[in-house]
Amino acid sequence: MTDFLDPLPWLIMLPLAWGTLAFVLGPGRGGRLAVAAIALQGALALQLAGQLIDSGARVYAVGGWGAPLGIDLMADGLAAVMLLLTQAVALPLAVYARGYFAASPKGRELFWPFTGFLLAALNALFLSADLFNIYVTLELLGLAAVGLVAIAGGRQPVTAAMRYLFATLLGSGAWLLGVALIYGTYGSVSLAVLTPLIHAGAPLAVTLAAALMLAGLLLKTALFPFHFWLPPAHGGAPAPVSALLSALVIKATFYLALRLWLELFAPLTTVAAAQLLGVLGAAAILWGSVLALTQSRLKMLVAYSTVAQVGYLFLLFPLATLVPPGTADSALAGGVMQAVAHGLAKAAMFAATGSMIVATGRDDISRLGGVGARLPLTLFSFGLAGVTLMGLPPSGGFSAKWLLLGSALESGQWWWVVVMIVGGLLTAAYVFKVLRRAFLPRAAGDRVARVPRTLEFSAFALALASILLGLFGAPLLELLAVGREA
Amino acid sequence: MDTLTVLCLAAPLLAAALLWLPASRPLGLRLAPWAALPALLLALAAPIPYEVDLPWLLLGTRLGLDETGRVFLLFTALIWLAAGWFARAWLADDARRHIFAGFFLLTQAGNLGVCLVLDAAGFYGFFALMSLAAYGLIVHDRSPPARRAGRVYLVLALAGEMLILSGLLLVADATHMPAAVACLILGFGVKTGLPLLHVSLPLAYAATPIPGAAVLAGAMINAGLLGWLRFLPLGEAALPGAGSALMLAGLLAIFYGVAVGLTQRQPGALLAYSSISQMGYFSVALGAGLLAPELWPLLLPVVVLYALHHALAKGALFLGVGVAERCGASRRVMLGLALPALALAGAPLTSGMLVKGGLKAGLADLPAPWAELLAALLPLAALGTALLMVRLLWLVGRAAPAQRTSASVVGLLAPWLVLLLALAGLAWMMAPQSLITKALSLGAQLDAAWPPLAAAALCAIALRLRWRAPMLPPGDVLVPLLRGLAYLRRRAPALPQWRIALPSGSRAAARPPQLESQLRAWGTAGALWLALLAAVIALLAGTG
Amino acid sequence: MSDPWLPALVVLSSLLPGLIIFFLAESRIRLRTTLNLTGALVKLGFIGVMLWGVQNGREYVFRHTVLPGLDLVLHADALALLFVSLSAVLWLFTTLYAIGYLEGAPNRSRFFGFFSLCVTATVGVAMAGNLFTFFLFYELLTLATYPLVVHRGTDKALRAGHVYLAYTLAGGALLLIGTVWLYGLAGQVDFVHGGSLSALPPEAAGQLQLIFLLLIAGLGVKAALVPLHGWLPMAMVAPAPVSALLHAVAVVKAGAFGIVRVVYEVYGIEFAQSLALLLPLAIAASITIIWGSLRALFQDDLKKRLAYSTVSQVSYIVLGVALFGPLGTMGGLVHLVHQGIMKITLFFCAGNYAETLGIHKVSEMDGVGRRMPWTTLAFSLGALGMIGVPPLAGFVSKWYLGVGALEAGMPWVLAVLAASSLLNAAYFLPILHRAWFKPASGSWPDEKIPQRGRWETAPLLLIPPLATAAATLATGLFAGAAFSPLSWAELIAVREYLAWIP
Repeated sequence: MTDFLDPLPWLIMLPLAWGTLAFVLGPGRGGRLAVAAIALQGALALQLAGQLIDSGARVYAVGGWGAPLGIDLMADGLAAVMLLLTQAVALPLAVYARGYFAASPKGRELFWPFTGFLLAALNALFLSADLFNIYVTLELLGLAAVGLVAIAGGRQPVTAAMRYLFATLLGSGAWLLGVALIYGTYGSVSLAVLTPLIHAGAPLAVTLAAALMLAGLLLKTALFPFHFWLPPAHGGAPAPVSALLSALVIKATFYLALRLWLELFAPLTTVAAAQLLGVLGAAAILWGSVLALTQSRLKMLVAYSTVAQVGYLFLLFPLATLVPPGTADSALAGGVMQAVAHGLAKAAMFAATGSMIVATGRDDISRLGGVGARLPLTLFSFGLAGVTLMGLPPSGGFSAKWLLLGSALESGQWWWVVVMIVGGLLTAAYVFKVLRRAFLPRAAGDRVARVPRTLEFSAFALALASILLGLFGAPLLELLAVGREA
Repeated sequence: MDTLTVLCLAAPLLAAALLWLPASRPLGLRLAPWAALPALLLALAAPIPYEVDLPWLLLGTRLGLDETGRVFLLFTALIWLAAGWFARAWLADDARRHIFAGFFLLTQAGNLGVCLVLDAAGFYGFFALMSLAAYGLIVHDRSPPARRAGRVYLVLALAGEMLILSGLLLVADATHMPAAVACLILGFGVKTGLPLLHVSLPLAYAATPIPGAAVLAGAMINAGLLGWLRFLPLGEAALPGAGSALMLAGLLAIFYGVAVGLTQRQPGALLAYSSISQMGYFSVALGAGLLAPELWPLLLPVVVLYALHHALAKGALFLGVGVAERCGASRRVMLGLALPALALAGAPLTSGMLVKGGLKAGLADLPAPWAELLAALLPLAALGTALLMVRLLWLVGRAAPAQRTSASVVGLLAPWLVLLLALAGLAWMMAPQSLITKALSLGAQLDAAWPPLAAAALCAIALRLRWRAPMLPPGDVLVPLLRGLAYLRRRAPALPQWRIALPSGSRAAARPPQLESQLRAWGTAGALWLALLAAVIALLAGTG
Repeated sequence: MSDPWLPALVVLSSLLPGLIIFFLAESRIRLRTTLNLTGALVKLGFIGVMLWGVQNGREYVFRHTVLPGLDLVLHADALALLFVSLSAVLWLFTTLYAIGYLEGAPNRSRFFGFFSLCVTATVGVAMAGNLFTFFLFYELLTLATYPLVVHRGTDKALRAGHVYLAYTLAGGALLLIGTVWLYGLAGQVDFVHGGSLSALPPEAAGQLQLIFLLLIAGLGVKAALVPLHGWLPMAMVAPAPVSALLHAVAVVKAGAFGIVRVVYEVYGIEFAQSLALLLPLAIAASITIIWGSLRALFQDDLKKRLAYSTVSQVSYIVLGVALFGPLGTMGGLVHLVHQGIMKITLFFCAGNYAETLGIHKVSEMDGVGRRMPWTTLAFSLGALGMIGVPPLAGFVSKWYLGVGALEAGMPWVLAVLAASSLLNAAYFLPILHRAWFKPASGSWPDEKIPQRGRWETAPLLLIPPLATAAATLATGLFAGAAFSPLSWAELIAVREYLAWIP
């Protein structure tokens, strides 16, 4: 009985179920169902988090079979944090999507089913306990995401979707190759089995596998210079889709990279490799920010901002590798906090962007005049999200930056400090590029229509959450620590 | 008594406030001349010493009177009263007389406060109020010379204020004594017209309406002197350097004032040079006090008495010049004018003779070169003063006939007469007995009599031979100085802008860089990915 | 109502009205005004309670843990209350003034919303109990003032906003680095009397000096220390109430106040002295004082002249902080208040000239004293106060700075003070001369508000500057009285130095 009520399987089953149902029910009722179901998922994720804090990390054997025969689900603090983030972002976005597709109905039929599958894949990915299952969830995630990019139809979105598809397939392929090498060496794909086996003197095949899997994940996470697929895909899709992709999908692959680096391949990691990841992250921050600054389309600006923000995530690797434990912990906390804060803020930003585009009827930064007067709440949400991205207090982004800066200074790696600070200033530059235009009075001949209230308030909820995360971040870090005391 | 003290300062301020509102302006104008009355009463009635503390006011203000303060308050109040009374008639036709009255009252409050206040911050406060408000008196007629005079006055006054402030702060600490004394001498020296700091005086005295000039020359100039008396370590420490310098400056002022004064054509400017010259005596006396502290107890009463004499004489001279201008230089007016002129020249039986004798006696005990030097120079100085006074009488006497105005003649004559009476009597009444006895001796009388007589004789000769004095512009050295400044100002480079150049927002919205489109090509992306893979393998295997 | 909540309530009393005002329709003038004034009055009430409490030795601390080892602390100590009271009082006046100033202008809800946020941030800066909390509100202030600076939406305003952001955000970044570094070195850095860093091992001295440099550079941007002052004159394009607030209470003061906190309550004045940090700070402040005055001399635009004057005047506070000894401290702290009152008066008046007669330039002010005597009277009091003429407020500051300089063994500071006063006179007195003594040159540039009976301009525009001008006079004249800014500064100085005077 208790097994039946365990939140772990339901977190995967529920979205699969409502995604399938949405095919049948159509966008109207399907959307309503989705909102209710995601709310339920959120409650489950909270329940799981509570259980973890009370009793530590745990494993769930699907159907009671257990590894190595059956499928194991594994939940620790990190997974729970990502689960919470996923549901927290998905719920307001679902509300938002209902309003958005009511206003611009292109692609509404396929949105809900694909979203259901996407969330199922995400939740499953976070909970998977073996490398092959992860491969399966990766593929499902990639396909659902590609599908979402393409739902609006038209030449440009489909081209972007194809680019995305190739990139994600290449990444998954590399992962699969790595899994095969691991299986060939150790005869297992279970994380629990493999972790104690892999040590510093592992054969070259394992090193090769680690490199392949990591490189595949970097490609899927769109770390510089592999961000080439991201801006067209995120910038071309409908706003709720862009929000989901930017906020969650790339976080999933980052999550995997983190797990591999900190747990499975921890004995293999070297300072030099960590610095390489850091350098790529730094390059992403600078390059993405500069490019965001040069965009004239609003959504492209936000998409390039994602490229830049992904870079912050990868600064965690040099800061957490072969440094004193306290420093590593704070770096990990900072990195995960950045993932969560960026997830919430970027979803809010894309949502607000979508509202502005719906209101002005075009995707052009220079035509935003009058938005501030007509859609104050939306602009406010954009601004709050911008505050998080800039890393100004009090916001989740600031907490993340604070922790990362602290560990960088503690470990003497001051160059990352410079990168983070410069990145923050560049972020401010492109955020204010939008804000200052929106403050201007409406240009003659432009129109700024009202948008449904749900669009404004759901974006605001996300933005507010990203701010409140900064004020109440302590419980999240407590949850993150579950299962990492060893 | 405390109420009266507060009233001394409050009365002019309240009257000034009444002038601000159009509704209460007539009342304010009616009260304005009498605002110094409480101060006069206080000076006459206060017990000495007298103190009252007002800890809540400014930085903790202490008001009060000592012997010096009482004399200063007495003649200051007297001159303000006379000038106020005089002004009422003098400005009867002036549409802006309420503005003049306002500044007059503010200046008055400052000047009376200076006499009454005993703490450094308070002294500085009242002094500043007086100095700044006087600007309004100087520029009252808005003519170009008046504005120029005002500007020069203000620049010097502010520089003086800053020196005074620094000096007052420094003097509290014995280690900074030389710097403090230098600051104080120069700072108050702006008021007392030390050489080179004197340039504003002739301009200001000539430009200010007569009642304003009377208080500038009679009352306010002595506030600078009071500053010296209050804050220089007179009689406490021997400062031979500062003392000698001050004495030399004083001697220079005495003769320089006479020399340039003789070249002036305007009575006001001439009187200003006379003041510069007269203030030189104080510089000499105070310098002596710094040089030889043991002499100071003897010198102080003489200096105070001299201040009383000079203030009343100068006030009377200015009012007299005004009377002559308005009512014509009739014989009776010239006679009245001759009294203060004779007094300044130190003629027998005048207050001038009394104080000059005292001063000579006080300075006689100075160490070696000084006593002899002064003994030789002071008679010459007296001759100079007398010459200057003759010249003044001559200038006034041959001036154009009176311009008739509706002003009551009584309103002009009565205050003048009051000052003349005070000049004739007050100094004798307040002088110590020993001084009077000495002054009444025959030798002293003869000593005092020759300079005016000699001056008269010289002038008679000069007139007969038709000597024409060269003409120097009022403010003498100021003219080349200002030319130099103007030249520098033309040549001075403009200040650079310190601002970090920033790219403008619009320029940042340029096209995306080329590199980005190259990164988007599949070939580049694939190659980079393989390179990354190789790099990760190499780096991970590095430790293996 | 328990004690910890009072500081939070003071912050909330402007935050909540601000947030509500954002979403009010443009036309709901009465509700907006009510909210604004209620907030201002309620805040004053809370502050009054705390003033009384702190005078009697009570402590008001609000603490909330954001992250482990990172607390948000609001602490109403004597120093905080000095600044809080100033901002709350001046906020009330500025709000009144802004209501009059913006009558009929567009985007008023946005304006007043950010206006309230700006005050919230200022109050937060004042009551911040540690460096992190300070940084939080410091950055909030940057964000809240930006929309006010660009409020007019002209190209010039946008450009000024651009420069403003570039400077302040870069400054914030430096401050952040310094703060993180310090937290790494010393753990949570609460503001405590006498500072907490002297317990660190002597090897850290070099790092601490570097951190001090970072912190001061970060704060110096807002405090407009030369050469970090470039944004301030440009920000003059903002509407007059904003300039008034910016210059008198909010932005520049936040920077100066931060420097006060860092020197006294992070490093501790004695420790800062032993690290040889005070002399460079005094020199930097002196350079700023002179440079700002020199630049002001050459401005014809009235508001620009006032802006450069602010550059110069705010560094008096920094200078006072850098003078080692309680008297210098008093001079610096009291100037925090005095400069605020005087500068806000001047900006109110400048706004009145512009709004009433269209006068923006000094050269257009001939004879304006006749047309607008009350405004010009207020302006004169402010200007004379700035010069340091007794018995106005500025004199008291200057006197204590001078005494403090001697106490600290830096007599050269007297020369700086004197030179600066002369320069102040050189750029203020010609204005007064024009206004009072020159005849009006025919017509005004753009007379918008005609004379109506007694009122030379709109009553809401006239009352605030008169009130603050009266305060300029009163704070100087009654400096010795109880509860004057001077006596409050003395209370703080005594507490600050008690930490090391046995």
